Parts: sequence; C-alpha cells; structure tokens
Amino acid sequence: MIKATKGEKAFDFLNIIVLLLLGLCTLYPFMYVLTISLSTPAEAARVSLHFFPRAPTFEAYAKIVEHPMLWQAYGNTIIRTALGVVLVIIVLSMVAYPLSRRTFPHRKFITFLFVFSMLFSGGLIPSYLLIKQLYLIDTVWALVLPGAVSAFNVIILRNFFEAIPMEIIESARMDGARELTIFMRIMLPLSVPVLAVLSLWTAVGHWNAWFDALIYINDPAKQVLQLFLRRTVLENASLTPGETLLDPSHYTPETLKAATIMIVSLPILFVYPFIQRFFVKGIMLGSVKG
Amino acid sequence: MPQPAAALHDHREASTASRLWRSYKLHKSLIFMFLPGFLLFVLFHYVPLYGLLIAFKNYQLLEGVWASPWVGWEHFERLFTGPGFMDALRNTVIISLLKLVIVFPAPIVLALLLNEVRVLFFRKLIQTVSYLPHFFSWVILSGILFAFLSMDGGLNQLLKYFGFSPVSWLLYPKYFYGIVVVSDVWQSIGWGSIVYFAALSAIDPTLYDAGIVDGASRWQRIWYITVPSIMPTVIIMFLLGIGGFLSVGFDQIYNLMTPTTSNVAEILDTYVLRRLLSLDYSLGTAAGIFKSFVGLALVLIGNALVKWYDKDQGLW
Amino acid sequence: MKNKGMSTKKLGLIGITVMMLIAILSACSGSNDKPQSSPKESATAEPGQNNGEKTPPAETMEISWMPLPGNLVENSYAQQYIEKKFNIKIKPYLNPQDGYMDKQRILLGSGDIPDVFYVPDPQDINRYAAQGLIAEVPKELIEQHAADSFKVLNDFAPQAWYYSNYNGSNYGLPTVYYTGQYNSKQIWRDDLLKKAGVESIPVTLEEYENAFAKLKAIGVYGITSYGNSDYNQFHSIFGAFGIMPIQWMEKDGRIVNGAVQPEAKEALALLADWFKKGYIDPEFVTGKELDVKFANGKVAFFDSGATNALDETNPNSMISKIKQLNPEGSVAFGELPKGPGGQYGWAWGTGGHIWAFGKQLQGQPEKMAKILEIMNTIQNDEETFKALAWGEEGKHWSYNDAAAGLESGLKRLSPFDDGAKLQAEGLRDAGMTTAFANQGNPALYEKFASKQDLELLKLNSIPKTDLFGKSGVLPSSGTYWGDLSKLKVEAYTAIIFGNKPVSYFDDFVKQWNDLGGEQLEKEANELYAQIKK
Repeated sequence: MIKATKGEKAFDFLNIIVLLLLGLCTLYPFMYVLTISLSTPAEAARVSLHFFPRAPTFEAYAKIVEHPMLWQAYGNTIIRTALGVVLVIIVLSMVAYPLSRRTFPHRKFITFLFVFSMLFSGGLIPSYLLIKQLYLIDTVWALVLPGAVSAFNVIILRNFFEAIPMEIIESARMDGARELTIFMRIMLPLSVPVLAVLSLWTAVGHWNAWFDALIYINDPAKQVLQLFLRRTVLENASLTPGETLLDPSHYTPETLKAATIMIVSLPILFVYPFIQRFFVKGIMLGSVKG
Repeated sequence: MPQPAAALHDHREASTASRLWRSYKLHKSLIFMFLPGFLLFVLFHYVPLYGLLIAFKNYQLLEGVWASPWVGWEHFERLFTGPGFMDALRNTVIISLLKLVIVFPAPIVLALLLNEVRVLFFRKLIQTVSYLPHFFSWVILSGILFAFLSMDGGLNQLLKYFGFSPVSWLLYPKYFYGIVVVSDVWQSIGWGSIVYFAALSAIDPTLYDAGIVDGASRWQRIWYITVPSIMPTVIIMFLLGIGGFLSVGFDQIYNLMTPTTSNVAEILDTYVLRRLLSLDYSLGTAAGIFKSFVGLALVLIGNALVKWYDKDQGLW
Repeated sequence: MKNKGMSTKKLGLIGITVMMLIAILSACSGSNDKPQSSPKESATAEPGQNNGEKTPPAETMEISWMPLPGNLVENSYAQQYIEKKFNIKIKPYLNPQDGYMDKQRILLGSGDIPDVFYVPDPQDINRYAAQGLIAEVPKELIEQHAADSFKVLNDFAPQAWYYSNYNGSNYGLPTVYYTGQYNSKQIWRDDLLKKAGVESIPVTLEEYENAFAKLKAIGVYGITSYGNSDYNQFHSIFGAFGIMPIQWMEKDGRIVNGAVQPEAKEALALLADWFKKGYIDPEFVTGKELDVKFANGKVAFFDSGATNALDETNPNSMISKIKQLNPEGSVAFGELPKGPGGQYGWAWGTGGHIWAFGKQLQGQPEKMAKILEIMNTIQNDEETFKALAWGEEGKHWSYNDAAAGLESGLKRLSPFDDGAKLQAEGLRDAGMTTAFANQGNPALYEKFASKQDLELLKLNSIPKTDLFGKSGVLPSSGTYWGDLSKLKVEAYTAIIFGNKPVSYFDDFVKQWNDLGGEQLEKEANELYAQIKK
C-alpha cells in the first residue's frame, strides 16, 4: 500500500462527511414515516421534525396486522415478485445475450425496435384488450408477462455482455463449447453484478406496482399489497370533494397510514443489503484466470 | 457444432440473401435462444401500438380504434393551440435541462465517492440508506417536504437559529426549480447509483495494480481507470434517459406545485391532464406522440454523436 | 450500408408477425363479453345451494352490477340478500375506491359495460352518453317503476336531475345525499380567543377582524384555508358577501358564475387587506396540514371543521388531538361570518351520485324496470334499507343502548367494527349508505341516524349550494373547466397574497370569459331553461 498523501487524507475526510450528510438526508423520510407510525395521533400532529419516536407505541401496527386482506395481499405480491424476477432473469438474458454478439443478424434494427418501444406505447385500452383476449385477466401472468422483456433492461444487460472480452468466448469455442454452454457457464456467472441489479430493479418494480393490478385483477382475493396500501393511505381522497368534509367517520389517522407504509415497504427494503454482496470486485478476474 | 468465426470472412461476393441465410445458419442456436423472449416482447409492446391511431381519430369507445372516424391533425392542433401550451413547453424544457445537468450525474458522483470509501461497512450503510427515499411515493415525500420547508419546519428553525429570517420556500416561483432539482436528487440518487456500482464491480482490479506500479496518483487512477471503465454504462443510461426528455416527473411536480408557483410549475403533463378530464383519450395520445417524437429525435441525435466520438459505443 | 437491406426485410417479417397476431386477436374480439362471464358464473354457482330453491335456470335474471367503491367480496352478505329477496342473480364488478374511475373507464372502453353502475361525477354521465355507452332512462320510466325515489328526488333534490341530464334527455337514476344539505362547521380555539382578550365568539366580519387583530398580538394567525381548492378557498368569507365562487347562481333572472361577480371582488379586497395586516396564515396557499396548524394553536379559526370536532371520545377528533398536545386547549363551534351578503357556507348539495345503465339495457326494458324496482325498494323500504345499510341484528350490529333503541344509534359488533371486514360484507361504516343502491331517502336517514349527529349537522348551518349541484356539469365543461378552475385559484391567490392588486380582478374576469367562461354561462342559461320547462 502506498502511503496516503495529505491531499488524499483531506479528501477521505471530506468524502466521509459529505456522504454522512447525504445519508442523513436520505434517511430522513424513512425515519419520519417510522416515527409517525410509532406515535399517538396527537403526537403525530405536533409540529416537529419527527426524526425519532419519543414514546413509541405499537397501537397502529396492532390494528393493521389483524387485517384479513393484508396477509393475502402479501402472499400475492410475493408470488408476483418471485415469478417476475425468475422470468426476467431467464427470458431477459436469453434475449440480451444474442443481441450482444456483434455478428447477430439484424442486430441494429432489433435494438432500434427495443428503443422505439420505450418511447411509444399504444395506451391503456389496447393493452387491456390484449390481456383480455389472451385470457390473462385475473391471473398473475397479466402482471408479470407484459414487463418480462423490457427494452431498458435488455439494453443494459446487452451492454454488460458486450463488455465481456471476446477472447473469453473465443477460447471457450476453441475448447469446443456450444453456445448454450458458453452462455450458461461463462456469460451468466460473469454477469452476476448486473443480473443482481436487474433482479433488484424487477423485484422492487413488482413490489411497488399497483396500476396493472388495479386494471387486470378483479378478484379481491388476488389483489396485491400496494393496492391495500393505497386504499389505506389515500382513503381520504374521496371521489367527491364535499364528502370528506361532512362525513369524517371514514377518516384514517396518519399513524395508521404510516404504519401501513412501513409494513408494506419493509420486506423489499431488505432486499438491497442482500444484493450488495454480489457487487464484489474481482469477479471478472477470477473467472478469466480460472 | 458452430464453426469458428473465421467462416464469416469469405462471403464478400455472395448476394445479400444468401449472406443472410448463412448468417442465420451460423447463429442458429442463438436465434432459437432469442426468439421466445423476442416474440413475447413484440406481443406486449408492438401489438397494442395500433392504439396510437386514436391520436388521429375521433375515438368512439363503442366503435373501437379501427372503426372510429379519422380527423387528421385536429387533436394536435388542439394540443398546440390550447391556452398555456407554450408556457408549459418552456417550463418542461427548463426543468428537463436542469435535471439532465444536475440530477443525471448525481448518482455517478455518488458511486465514485462511495467507491473511494475503504471502510466496507460504511460504504454498504450509505449505499443502503441512500436508496431509501426511492420507496416512498411523491405523495408521501411531498408531504414531508411541505412540513420540512414550512414556516415552522426544520429548515426555517435552522435558519432562525443562525439569525436568518424564515422563508416560505414552496410559495415562491424563484425557489421552485431549485426545490424540484434538489428533491429529485434526494429521491433518486441512491437508487440511480446502483447500476454504477455494478459497473464499478466489473472493473478488473489488475488495472489498478498496474496503475499503482506505474506511479499513478489516486486522482489519476480515478480519472484514467475508474471513469473510463464506467463510461459505457454512463452513455447508455444517458441515451436511454434522454428519450424521456419531455417527461419530467409528473408525480413530483404535481405534488409540489402550489397556486403561487403554478406559472413556473405547469409542465406538459399537467397541461394535458387539465384538458383530459376524462375519456378524451385522443388528446392524451396526441400529446404522448409529440413527446415520443421529440424523445426519438434526441435519442437518434445523441446516439449519432456518441458514435461519431467512438464508433463502438452507443445503442446500436 | 448492407444493414439497410436487412432491416427492410426484417421489417417485413415483423410486420407479418404483427399483422397475424392482430388478425388472431381481432378475430376473438367479436365475442368480447362472453368468455369473461363464463368463469365467473361457475364461481357464483356454489352458494346457490344454501338457498332453499333449486335455482331455476330460465327464471332468474342475471344483472351485472358495479356497486359503490369499496372492498366488497363476491357473494357478499349484501349481494346474497338482494339475490334472494328479488330472485335475481348478480354478477358483481368489484372495485376498490382508489382507481375506481380508472377501472370503470377501461371496462367501458373495452366494451365490458355493466348493466348498472355507479357514476360519482355527473361529468362522466355527459361523456358516457355522448359516446353512446349508456342507456337513456326516461323520467316516466322512473316515475313508473321507482315512484318513491322519483318523488323523493323531486321534493328533496330536484337539482340532481341536472346530473343525469344529457341534451335534454335523462340518462340514469340520480340519488340523494342527505348530509350535503349542511355546510361544514366553523370551529374556533376559544382558549386562544380568551387569551387574546376576545370575550365572545365573533359573528360579524367586523368582529372577526377585531378578534384577528387581538390574536395577532399574541402571535396567532386568525384564519387559514384550503388555498389550492377552487371551491373551498375561504368559502365562508365569500359566503358573507352572498357569493360562492365557481358556483352557478341565479342573479337578476340570469344564471351567472359566482367567481366573476363584483361581490367576489369585495371579499377579495377584504382578504387582501387581512393578509397585509398579518391575520391570514401565508401558507394557506399550500392547503396542507390545516388540522395540524389548528391543533398546535398556530391558527385560531378553521372554516372546514368536522361535526365530531368536539367529541372527546373519538381519538381522532380535533379536540382529542388538541387535549393531548395542550390539556388547556379547547374548541368551540362558531357561527358563519356575517357580512353584507348574509351568512353562508359552501355545501355539496342534496344531489348524490348517479346510477347509470349500460347501453344494452335500451333493448331490455324488463331488466331496466327490474333494476329500478330494486333500487326503489332498497332506497325507500325500511326493512330492506336496514338490512342492507346496517346488516343483520346481532351479527353486524346492535343498538348503542338497547333500552333506547333506534335513538341511541347503531353499534358495530366484532369483528365487523373493523371497517375492512364490514365492507367485505357489502356494508358501509356509518350505516347510512348501501353498496348497491347508495343512500336511502331522507326520512330513513333521519330515522337511523343518532339524534346527536342530526343536531350537530343542523347547528349553525346556512348552506349555499350550486344551482346545478356541481359546477362542472355543463356540456362544454370538459373543454373549459380545467383551465377556468386553475385560473380562478391562481388569480384569487395572487390577489389575496398581494402578488397582484385587487384591481387585477377585472383582468381576471376578462380572461375567465375568454377562456370559455362566457360560453359556459350561455350553456348554463340554456340548461336552466331546459330543465325548468
């Protein structure tokens, strides 16, 4: 190790300070919602930063966990997320890998088709009719199939595949490996970091998605978690402006809303730390040499 | 058994068709691998595209897209001549440019800064914490912002402590763009940086070892090894992002605007929303097509510029 | 480039693929509704067993029904009750409240039109009718098959007929909204008033102003408001000038909009003056956290209080929040401010939402008649209403006080004291609304509401409602209303805030008329004449 210069030391120090400040800022909304969720309604109404719960109470949580729809919605969202991720990893890599080969026929044009699809979309009703005519209404497939091959992900993944040195593929071919073998044994293991990113994106996307479920799922027993959340959080946003002013009986307290947000978001928040271990330097190195 | 790549060389004089055929044969297994996903893609992304037609039709729900009567460019005229269109377009372009210059690079800077942190625990902690705001919708985040920036909010308490007079930040047009940009960075920086972490972790560490041996300073290593290594990812993210140039974050703007800032906050999306009220699918689609064409033009220009600079980069 | 040749070929190839797919898809699109209903039917078949009768297949009429938004489940208690009582089969379309309209529009847009569905916004009736998606329901038909409801509408909420009106024809069954006849409560922090040295709760605008001046001396704002709302911004102050901005009203035999009347300018002048003197919370503009400001004693007066504001037994009521922050704090109901134009507060009006009937019912008069009859029974027959609004005695509810009976109001029984479980049964929290027919008639409401609630609703209520019930019901509202509403909020806010002088009001009126206000005024007069005759 080379000794750090004065300038570098100063940089390290400043860097840590800047990152700490940033971390504090980005932690704030989380702590805010957490604090509200652990407060009494009156405490929540106090003018305060709400950065730390003063006298935590689990009242709001106790109310929510006994909600019958919550656990069912949890199950549905977990199924959708897991299925979505598996599908994306399989199908996406199968599409992106051939595209990453510079000799693949019509490569440019196909790439253009992907980019074009990101910019233009036919709107809600044609999509709904398509799902309906494929008999996918009220099935989990209506939620996972349309987004399985998204242009954005294809291009990101293709680019990572492209960055893998051609020599690796060539040398494997010399050893007589088939395309599928190269793909499974070399390309995929080398792309673990980006596959981890894509899995995370997909998982979070599925976990937070609600509009497609609203449109494509009629059966309340198949409904997803985010709709449960939106129902609780947006319940005051009534259909007609006069109603909430006059019928306050439907009022959902802030503490309950915050607790719902926490219960719905926490599991997916823990995915990232788990994914982080795939961002280890030197994955490439090991496999190229080995 | 696939032939070695050498087979690609000797078909200069072959006709296009037979060259194609050979290419298909050569890539047979890759094509089989590619097709299922590609067909799925075409099914869900290209089949519904006929819906774009309603921008040129007087769309009747009962008749459906095909049978509705054509009206030509009427909806586009309505879009472009509506009161306030030019203002909305101007605001959209300003916000988009600001976001391009400040919000886009922010996650890259974060990734680079974190990459320089040697304490692994601290790095992971900040990574995790920085992506938290992504999980709250703008309805929630704007509520927190309104409380924080209000006269009694945290920021003004701080200002008062240092002897400044408090300001109602969200009520003045002059602060609006600043708040939009800063809060967008706040919400998206951690989430946006994830892809760059992945790119950073793909850098071959021997490059750094070589750099150290050559006597490169830390800055030089960052500048000559780290930055160029993630450049392809940066370029791709930029090209993919620029297609959405005229979509500047409806949820964010809509939730942050107030009656006193609406003259600077009105963007294309809010402009269309007001005219859409409901069932006017044609106008919404026309606006979408307009935005898409601007996006497409920018992507094409951007890609050409990238290729001009380095022909191995770019989208295609 | 060689690439060019390739791409045209590929384009052709993809074109063919797409064409084929479209052809396949459009081939099935002819039979839009049929495939959808088959799985549902098999699902609904089972519970028929516990009905004593052996479901005669030809006799029972199937009605597809989209009830009020809520977390209903299929074969809910309410659905089964209706099916049994009226010998029909219901195919329910169940939508949660959030996104209800999105879902409804997509269903309608894809040709999946329920026989009867709930439409909250009268504007949508206009649009659906214009698109030919809903059936005309002649008033005579309603009079014939839903006579009680017809009479109630005419007596209690005649303006509701504007909701279902399109081009002079009637397109649905409007409903009544009992609480809409009252305006929201004016609430004061009387502890702060006392502290500032104000002895009695202000009534006239002068008294308001004096109180605000004294409150300012102790560092409390007098008033705040929903500054971002087109109808609710300082509504009771405008009411004191006899005007309610954005409401349509009759003035000297003409229909005009309150937003552009000279009275509004007077009210704005007063508000601008108050703002300059520091009586108004400057952040009224955001319209956020009003209850927090009130509970924390930042603001002493709030014009949109709830009837339960003083209810200490409710942990979410204003007084409960205040007491926990400050045990000395207290709240009192006040009168609407009295000014040159009287005392008025904004009210929703007695017209409720609308039941629309799918286009297909145009050819099935017996089905439409049946639905009207069912609606009529639920809305007016005491026993049926009680069964569908309160539920089953001993299971869903009991009286608060068994000895006092009805007067004491209803108490939800466990587990149905949980709103979610209750909604799953097809029942609503307060027990005043039915999922399949909306509210009952006013007499039923008064019978089933607790005495205390009724009295609180009536307290200090001098409502001002829109001539048409809702400002955006005119034929061209869809084109202009969005812009006008934005213009109104911006102009009023700018004047009150001091960004623009009061004289800017005249510019605003001109812009209003140019942006479509003039056209809407013309239509308002036509509509009024049309329904009047």
